[in-house]
Amino acid sequence: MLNTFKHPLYKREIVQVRWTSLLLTISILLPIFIALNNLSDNYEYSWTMDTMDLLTEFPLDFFAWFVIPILIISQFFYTRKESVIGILAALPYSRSESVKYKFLAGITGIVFAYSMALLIYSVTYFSAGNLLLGPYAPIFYWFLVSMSFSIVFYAFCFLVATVMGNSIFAGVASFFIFYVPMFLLASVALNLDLMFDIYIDLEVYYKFFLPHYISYTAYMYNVDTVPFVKIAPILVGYGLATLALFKLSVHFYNKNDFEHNGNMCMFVWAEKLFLYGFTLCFGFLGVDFSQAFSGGWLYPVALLCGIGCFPLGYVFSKKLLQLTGHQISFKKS
Amino acid sequence: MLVVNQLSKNIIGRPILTDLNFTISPGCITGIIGENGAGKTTLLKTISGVLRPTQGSVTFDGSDVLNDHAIRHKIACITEEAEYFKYARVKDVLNFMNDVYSDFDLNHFHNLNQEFQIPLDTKIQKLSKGMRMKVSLMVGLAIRPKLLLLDEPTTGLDPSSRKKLFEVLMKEVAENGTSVLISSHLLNDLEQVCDHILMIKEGRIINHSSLEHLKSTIRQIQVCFNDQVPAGLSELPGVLRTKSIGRVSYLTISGELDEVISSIESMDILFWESIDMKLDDIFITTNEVGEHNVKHIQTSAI
Repeated sequence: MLNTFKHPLYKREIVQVRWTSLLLTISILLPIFIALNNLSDNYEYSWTMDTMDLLTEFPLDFFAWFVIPILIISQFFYTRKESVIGILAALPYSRSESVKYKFLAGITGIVFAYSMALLIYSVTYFSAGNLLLGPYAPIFYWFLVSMSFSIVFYAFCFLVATVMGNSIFAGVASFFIFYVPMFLLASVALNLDLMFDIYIDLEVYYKFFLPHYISYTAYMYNVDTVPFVKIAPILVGYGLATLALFKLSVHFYNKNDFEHNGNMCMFVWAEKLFLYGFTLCFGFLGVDFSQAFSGGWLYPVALLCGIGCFPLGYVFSKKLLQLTGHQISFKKS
Repeated sequence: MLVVNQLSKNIIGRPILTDLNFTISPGCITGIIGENGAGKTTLLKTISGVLRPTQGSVTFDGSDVLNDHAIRHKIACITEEAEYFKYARVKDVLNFMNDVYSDFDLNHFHNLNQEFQIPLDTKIQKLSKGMRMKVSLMVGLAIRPKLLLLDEPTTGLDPSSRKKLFEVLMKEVAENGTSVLISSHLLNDLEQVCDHILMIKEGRIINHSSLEHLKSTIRQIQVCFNDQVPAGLSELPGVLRTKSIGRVSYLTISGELDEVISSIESMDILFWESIDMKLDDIFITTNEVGEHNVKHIQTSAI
């Protein structure tokens, strides 16, 4: 472990992530400060996690979900530059080592940010005096579950960044790939329920993708009776998911041909996936938005507009590939 | 010894390097020359292990450069693009490299810096292009490499710095037996330091030989005629091209001179003399007339 911290690649990667890690820390602490500020004016609330959540009106680490893709961009920005990879890839380290220390540095950045948040939380909690009505356990649960979830999300973004050759697009795409399916699934479930009275239970899905749902909804009302072992399986699940995503990242990074650095994708199959995945997501979002703004599926013009988003999505994704460089061939129109 | 064996590299299906075979012995300075897009940088990147060959292999001292990363402790790849360290100070780069390379010689770096005078507390981004190249070179040499790869090292350097760079290179080769592979468009500079030339055209080697041998295969003679320049000079055997100014004609000749000289001496000439051809003239001639027309140029194992 000590050798890891002393490794020159790890130290170098830490230098790369330090400012983004600080931004991540601020992004987690900012809502906490807002909540604490509100709390001092609302003595009727008790100092509990659900109160904090209510006061900020969204999960406390909500902004972190946006900063993690930025962390990925900052980590891969230089790696994807031809001039930099000429130095990095010529160093006497294997690609697996390079990607491992990059990953560990990113995890360190996240752990640092959440640890700072836990520290501030704990200090304010124990110095809150008379406001102290709720138990401390949910704070620690929040720390463990939210941090682990952020690490899974980071590992997912990291995987996407090893497959894509453009770090900025990788950061943006990984965020959307992670959250758009959930949004679409929720939308489809809602429509099925409204239109055909078919109910789909998405609770398991939500539990995985919305960690505050676990740490608050499941425990806040009976926190005294919830033992730690209850969140242990979730943490183990997150740990296994992180490990699997990391292994895949190493595999794909090893397969990277660095001459494609800067392209949208590093692999032909990934370009195809991007082309059709983007088309489908764009199309479905178009349908969903047109339905939301028109008041229902039955409004034909809005629906047609939404359906029009599929070819539009294809054109956009094709243009993006053409602009950033691609390996697949497009027929000349 | 560097051994490049049947090396090919395709990028998006387009062949960039095709079936390259050559060896570089210890203590050799080999210049890679070729037009833009000939594949020089791709070759250096493939040798340094940055790019994966489509076919073939690159071995140094018997170890595969791509897969045996330990061998890269002996290889320095010098490029002036130091964006990875853009916001770092020179001394940070020094410390990083000192941590990475097992044989890093700090004293050697400081000795070289007495020559180049780069302030160690300055950030890389504040340095000029030439100064960044000097830092890269000093760091590369402090690794104490057995193989030194330089891609356009003279870009951005003033003439005095270029001279210093080549002096340092030659000293390194003389003292440590380092093999150097250097690509540059400044052929006159290469001519001063290289003992071998690797000429690349469209990803293929069209010549790999000693500079001396190369110069003996293409020569130029200046012929001064008593009267006007006769027609049909370019038809003489071995003449690649001719250029005439007044009564003086310059003939670029491939192969043995004897046959051409006897033909010329039978003409009404005032005198003839052999002119030393510069490397860039040889390069331009070879590219213009095509390597197949240049006799006796051959790829030789060195």
